[in-house]
Amino acid sequence: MFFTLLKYEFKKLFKKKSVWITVIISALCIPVSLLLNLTFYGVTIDTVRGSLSGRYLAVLKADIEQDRELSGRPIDDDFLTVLQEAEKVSEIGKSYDKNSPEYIKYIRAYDEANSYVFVMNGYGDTDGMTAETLYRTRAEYMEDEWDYYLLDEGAKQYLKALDDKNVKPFTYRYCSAYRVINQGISMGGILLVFAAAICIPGIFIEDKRTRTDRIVYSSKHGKTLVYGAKTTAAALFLMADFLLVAVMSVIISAPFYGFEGFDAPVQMIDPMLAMNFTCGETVLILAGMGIAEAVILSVICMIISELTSSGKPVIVTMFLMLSAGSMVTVEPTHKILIRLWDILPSQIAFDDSAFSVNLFRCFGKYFFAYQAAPVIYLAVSAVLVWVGYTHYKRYQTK
Amino acid sequence: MELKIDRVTKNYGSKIACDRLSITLGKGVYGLLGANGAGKTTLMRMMCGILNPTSGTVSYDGIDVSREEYRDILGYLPQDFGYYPEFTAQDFMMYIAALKGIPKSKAKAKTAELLETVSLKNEAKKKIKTFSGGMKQRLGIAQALLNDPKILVLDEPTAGLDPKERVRFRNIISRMGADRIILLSTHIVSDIEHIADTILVMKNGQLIHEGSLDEIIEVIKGKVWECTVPQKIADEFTVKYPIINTRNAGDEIFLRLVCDEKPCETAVNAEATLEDLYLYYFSEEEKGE
Repeated sequence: MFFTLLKYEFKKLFKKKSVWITVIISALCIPVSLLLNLTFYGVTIDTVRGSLSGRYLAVLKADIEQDRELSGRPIDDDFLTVLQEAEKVSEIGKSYDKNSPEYIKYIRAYDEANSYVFVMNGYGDTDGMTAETLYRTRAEYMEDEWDYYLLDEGAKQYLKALDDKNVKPFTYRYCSAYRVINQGISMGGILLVFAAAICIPGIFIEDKRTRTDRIVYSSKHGKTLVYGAKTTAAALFLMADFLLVAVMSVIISAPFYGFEGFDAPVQMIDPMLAMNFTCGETVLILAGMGIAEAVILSVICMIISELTSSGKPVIVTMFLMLSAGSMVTVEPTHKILIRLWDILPSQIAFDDSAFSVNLFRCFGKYFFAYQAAPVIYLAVSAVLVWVGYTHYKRYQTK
Repeated sequence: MELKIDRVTKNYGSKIACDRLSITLGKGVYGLLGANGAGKTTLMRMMCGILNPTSGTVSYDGIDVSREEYRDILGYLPQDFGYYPEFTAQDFMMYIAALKGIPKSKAKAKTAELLETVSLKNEAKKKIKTFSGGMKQRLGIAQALLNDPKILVLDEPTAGLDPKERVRFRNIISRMGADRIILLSTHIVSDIEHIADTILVMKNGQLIHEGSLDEIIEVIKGKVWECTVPQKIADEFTVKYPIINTRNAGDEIFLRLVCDEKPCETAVNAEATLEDLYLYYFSEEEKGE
């Protein structure tokens, strides 16, 4: 009977236009943003010729080709020399016609790999850089970051031990698809907040608003299973909405970027990370964070809707959560708050938050936000679901 | 089979909607009569577990109203309730069947049967938003009957029904009353007159009368008068007595009224009806509204 009631909760939900609009926006957001990204990819405005047609995808293709050319090579002195030499000859490119393949090839000059090394070098100049200096700078940059965030010695040792397990020199790997998919997943995390604010309150307040509550609450399962069905429908809807965005990210990025790099180390996405997993695992972890976010958001929206019998407080809460997560920066001195900020539901699907160095310490062990968040969300959800249930079954018609 | 309402009280702040009301209902059809604000709907909501009494209990054969077992044998048609406008009549019935825990195959058969009973068979696939008020009310009646309830609570079930539909409804309820407890409230006194085995009269949150039609009417036997008087006298009587009926009779006015003593020399005693009783008790409240 539970699943029949669940089916009807979905039926009620999908009878609303606002829900369909939300789903359509979720489905189209990634394709549109990716196409916009591709449209403007590598654009250097040509004021002389005034024409930029046909350049964008050609630039992307050149970058991917160059990246694939370097893929599998260790990031050592030879690798750096290749990049530096390419940088030197990039001036040659300017002599070619701006729509020619030669122009793009020379002018890009292993742009992706250069950017990567630039980040790995702590955003410092890489001209004349040796591999030894590069890895030392990276290690110093990471330690500086740990100091900045006032990590205790245990946390630093834990991160260092993790990083020591990473084989150096790194092997450069082409893994652009996973960068793009991760961005899509992070965007899915943001879209979830909107979807929660728009769609979830209706599940819990519609019966009261439309006065169908009298029939529902006087029925056999009205005070028990219906609550379970509503709560489950809310969570499943948000999960599905998130997965839609995630799947769209994969589907849309695949034709352009392929799937290579699943087993590339995560350092190919962010060289400053200490973890030992792969780019593919990063995607799976962030997708897991998105699902966890869907659960906690559905529960938060449920409890606010239940307690206030209104959708407005839910919208305000979601707006405040988004604003706080994106606009407020917490100082490292606020050790608890900065960690709470990392596991803020609207933030957790971002790699910055999920893989933040602000580790959670529990029973003498250290955990990243991506490890702590699901447990914390589960505990908070369990409490809120219970509070919601006690309130729900005591509801009286007005 | 015994529905026991034991010293049930419901307060809304300082207002007492239901005042230590006690009654035990067995099989049969009970008609609940009372003016607006008498506490009928409050009592019915407490009987259906959607409103908690301030004090007192409601139970069926020892099963408290708050329990799932109680709701399992309950059918309820609320006075003022909503629908899912985008659902078809069939969807709505199937959803309510699921809420009542009826298996799908049984629910389907029962839905078809009840939609036919309330003359909505041909509208089963139509969206409820296209229904008239009377059709919605019939659908409401059908949903209340889905689980063959042992306790059937109907709050204003005939509101919005045309005379033909009302007769049809009265026949359905009369048949069902043989093996279950049916409590219905309505302002249409004739409905109660026709189908209620027992009439309950509520005033100011209290039960002031309980009995069969004849027993109830006994209260005003000999107090119902008919007379034809000049306009001036008719105006005086209208202020003085509860008027049940008035019509022009040439230059004079025919009146049917309720009063303890003969209002004028020409007045003749008339046979009392339930409507006379209703107006006798509630004319002041009705005037107040």
